[in-house]
Amino acid sequence: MNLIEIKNVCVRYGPIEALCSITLEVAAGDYVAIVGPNGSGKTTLLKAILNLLPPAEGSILLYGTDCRHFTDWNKIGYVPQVSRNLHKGFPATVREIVASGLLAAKKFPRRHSDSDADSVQKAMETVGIPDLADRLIDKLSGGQQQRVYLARAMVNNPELLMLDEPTAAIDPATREQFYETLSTLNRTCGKTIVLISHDAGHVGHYANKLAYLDRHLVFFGGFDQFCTSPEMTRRFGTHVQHVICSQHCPAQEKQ
Amino acid sequence: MNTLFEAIQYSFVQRALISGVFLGCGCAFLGVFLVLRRLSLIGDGLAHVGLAAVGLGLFLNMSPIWVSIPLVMFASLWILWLSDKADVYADAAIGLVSAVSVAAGITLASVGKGFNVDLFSFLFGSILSISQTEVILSVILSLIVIGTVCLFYHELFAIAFEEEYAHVLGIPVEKINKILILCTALTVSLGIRIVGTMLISSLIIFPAVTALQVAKGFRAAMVLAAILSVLSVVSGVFISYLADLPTGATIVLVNFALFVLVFFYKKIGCCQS
Repeated sequence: MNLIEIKNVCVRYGPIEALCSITLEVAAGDYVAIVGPNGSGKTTLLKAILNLLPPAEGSILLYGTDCRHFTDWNKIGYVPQVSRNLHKGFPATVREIVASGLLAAKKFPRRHSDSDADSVQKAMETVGIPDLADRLIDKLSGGQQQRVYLARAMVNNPELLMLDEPTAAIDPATREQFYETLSTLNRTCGKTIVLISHDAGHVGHYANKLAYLDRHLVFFGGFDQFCTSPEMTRRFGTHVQHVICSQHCPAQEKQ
Repeated sequence: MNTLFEAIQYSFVQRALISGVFLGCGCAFLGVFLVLRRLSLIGDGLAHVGLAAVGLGLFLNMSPIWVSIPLVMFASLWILWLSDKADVYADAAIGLVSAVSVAAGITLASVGKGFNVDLFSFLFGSILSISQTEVILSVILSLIVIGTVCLFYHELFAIAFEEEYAHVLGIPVEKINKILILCTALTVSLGIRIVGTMLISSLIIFPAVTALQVAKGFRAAMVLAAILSVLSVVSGVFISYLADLPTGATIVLVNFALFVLVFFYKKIGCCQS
């Protein structure tokens, strides 16, 4: 079953075409990495899928429903691109932030039930932050904050997780742990994952599909195909393509 | 102490305390959301609109509060429209609406006859002279504002934390923003009478900013802001009575004193830890 179907989508910011002719599908259980250079339209595509930016052309279906009319947002967990200082001085605890993710499953008047506390606890345990529950968000490190946002996205036990450069502000070791967590969620819990990253070589090892954007869809397929794609060779050159495709990957080493 | 007991016997002091406490709670609840969303100056901007409304009300020989409520609400939606739909930065939108309103207020004041003294009282507040009807009105409208904030607490929290994420949660962000801004307009309209046009924004900003210095959670911040607001109103009323000072200005100065106290308490606490 396809959770996301994107057909000939173009997105424009006024007269500027940010994305055009994008067609791709994400099936249940996929781990799709969307990569590309700065300004290639990765975040734009994610926002269009989440109905935050209306496409100028084409259609986007979520679970078979046009994203403009989609209402089952509790099926989707979203981890936005957040800079570390965005919430400086915000007085919310980790528990309060993770609980806010539950609002997607609620109708007006939105109130938390007794069982919500268990869901929040479970989400925090899943991403390894139960001991941070009563800490203020702006007192946490970048890596801890990313785990909080992942827990918030996970709290509804969604089928589909969408993450926008979740490791942009964190160190390599923490980034590795974060990718490991995502990989476990995909393989063990069956979560479908759509992840935006600059680092094709790194996420390519974890993902089963890779979409390379540069305002249009340059490549969509498996990482092995990416490494042998003539289009990618033309774009990067043989040497760079080799460097990307032979990057160190602890996940593979463990296997 | 006897003087305080004596003061509380007076019905005008009782009226000031009742309406001040309710309005203070409303301002504090809204203030936490407005400050966190960098919208705290909307209180100031709308207060300027309130000044124009007072001028218009006096010019038309109508009770200023009945003119200011719809006019300030309209201005609040105008600010929201300018910042959301017309690509004007929020602070610039507040400045635009505020400047036009002050200009209109001054123009009306200059063509009106003999209301300069009344206008002065609206600028700096006249909490000790409000009528029984105005007390009832301020209590009812404050309860509406407090009730609305409680009803939409989770939505307001999610939007304050991350507006874009709130969209993805399926929250009707534009509607909630309108509700927040209209509640602010309602509170400002009432506050004009209590602490004056120029000082209402401080009741929105001070308790929230002070509470945010030390709060250990979002609910805690809201409760603390409300407590600080009530404390400042009650002590401001009594201090102004005892020292024969202008009540609105005294309330603001008490708020400032509380802010300084909490600020240094936090600094000392941080140094010790």
